[in-house]
Amino acid sequence: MSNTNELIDFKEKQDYYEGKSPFALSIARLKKNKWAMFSFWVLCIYVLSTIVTTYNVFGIHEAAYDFNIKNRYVPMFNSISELFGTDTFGRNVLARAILGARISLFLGLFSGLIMIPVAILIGSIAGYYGGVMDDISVYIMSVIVAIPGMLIIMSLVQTLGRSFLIIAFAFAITGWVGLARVIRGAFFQAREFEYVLAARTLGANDFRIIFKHILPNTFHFVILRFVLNFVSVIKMEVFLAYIGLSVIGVPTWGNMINESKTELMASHWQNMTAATLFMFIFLVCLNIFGDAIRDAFDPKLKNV
Amino acid sequence: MINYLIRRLLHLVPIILGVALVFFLIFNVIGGQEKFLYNILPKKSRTVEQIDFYKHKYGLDRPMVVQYLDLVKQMVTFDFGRSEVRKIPVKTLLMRHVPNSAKLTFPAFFFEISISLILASLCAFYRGSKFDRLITVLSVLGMSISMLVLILLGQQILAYKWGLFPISGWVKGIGAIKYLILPWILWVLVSVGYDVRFFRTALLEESHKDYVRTAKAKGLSDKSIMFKHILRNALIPILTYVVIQIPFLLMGSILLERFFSIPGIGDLMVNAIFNYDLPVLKATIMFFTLFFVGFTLITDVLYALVDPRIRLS
Repeated sequence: MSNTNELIDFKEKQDYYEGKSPFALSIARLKKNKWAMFSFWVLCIYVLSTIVTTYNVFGIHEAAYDFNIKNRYVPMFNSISELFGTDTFGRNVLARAILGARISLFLGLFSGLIMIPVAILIGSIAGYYGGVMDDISVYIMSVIVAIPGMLIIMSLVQTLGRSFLIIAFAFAITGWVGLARVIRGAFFQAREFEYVLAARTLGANDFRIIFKHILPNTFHFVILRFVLNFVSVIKMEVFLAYIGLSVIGVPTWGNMINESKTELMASHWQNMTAATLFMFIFLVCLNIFGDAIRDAFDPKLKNV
Repeated sequence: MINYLIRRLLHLVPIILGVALVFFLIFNVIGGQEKFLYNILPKKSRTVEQIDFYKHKYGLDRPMVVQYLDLVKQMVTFDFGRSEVRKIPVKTLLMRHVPNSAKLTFPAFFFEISISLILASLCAFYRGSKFDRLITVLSVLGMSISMLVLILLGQQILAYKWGLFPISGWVKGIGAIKYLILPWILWVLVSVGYDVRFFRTALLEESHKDYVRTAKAKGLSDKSIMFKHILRNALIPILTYVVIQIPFLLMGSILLERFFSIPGIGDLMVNAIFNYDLPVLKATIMFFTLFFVGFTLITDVLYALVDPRIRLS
């Protein structure tokens, strides 16, 4: 009885696995995860809204930036266009929360784009060549880890100025170490594997082995780090806003929550509710999606 | 063992040099000296001549290499002089602030680790059940909420509206506990999500190993397998994870310290960054680095003690 079942299982599995690359299998596994796909689409909506609101649709920029003192502290759920009311300057809180996604997304994107090439380069060279290269990279990493990341970010933003690129750069400086370590470890292991030996025997040079053969195997770490980087950047941005070091003059979630600090005493919950809600949904989706990526791409953890 | 310790302590030297270099690059090369001098001068005497005078006095017009070596010397002798803003020796300032941070973070950390360890082992024991799923969902939600929001809500609702806790404040001695309860609760809420997930994964990874199957084949009950075999073996990654977090505790509480006006080291550090109080900054960075390297050393030694397969070599 159980034997036939196993045979059927085996047949199904064979049909399922045949002719598919590990990457395609992982994507298929990811697609089967309903929650992951749901959060993926929610994240897509955020990205889409960011792209759309770059242009001034429905006068969203005026609603978010222009002062309108007569119309201040409109309560929440009063009308559809002012769903979350208005803040102390009469600016539309809903519009500001939507535009706040933009800064967070761009900060995450830019810091990721700076961080990932650095991490890949240093991690792969350290792990592949070992020896002196490895010692130097590990030394740099341990120095950066030994200083609290928050302190580096705050000091850099304070000395260089509170501009958008500098904040992204500061996030990247502290963020690359974790990824570089993981990639270094993966390269360390992969160096000994047969497929690397095979590639070398076939006459592939180091560059080709690193980028064509080993790096694709560590790619899920990169994707995962890229996704989770948004989480840490958004949380850090709120912190920076509280300290007073976030990007000036634009609505960000951190700035909104920071402003709500004084408004809560007078029970004006508009800024707090809108920013928290938008940020919370975004972070939950990122976390779920990140988990799903890790589960789908890491075959060792499949059963956990 | 002793050889290993000595070798590890020698590793400290280049790390301190590197940390000094990073600090030097940020504050002496990129900028900050002018602002620093500008800040310590009284309002009326903020002229170029005055700033040049002070630049000479603090040795900021010397060659970069000399300045760097001076910084290293200060870091090694742990003599940073006086705080420029508070006019108190930095050592006294640190001695005064570090215990307060410790009072805030160590009990909170202890509560949080015990709570998450209990929750995680329950989750791993009843894996796949409703309880497990509920805790997993809650921990994802907990990971996604910003600390600032939680602090604001806690202070607004629990402390201000319901009056359960004092809003903020600090006293010396044992009476400080009443100001610390709310920060402790918030700390646990913020970090319990991460830890439960990590511990649960560590436990579950362990439960797929061969010795678990052997134990089951021997006829041991699930409970004794879980708590006698798996939990003990999973303690190795858990222990590393916990010990490696300890150095970050002193810095991790910046938000709580500022919001609840607890005079701790995070608060000191943020103020130092804003006022360009370089002596205090140097001291805090040095303190943190030593703390960090010391605890990584302890982790490695503990690791070898707990797991006999690992050799110290």
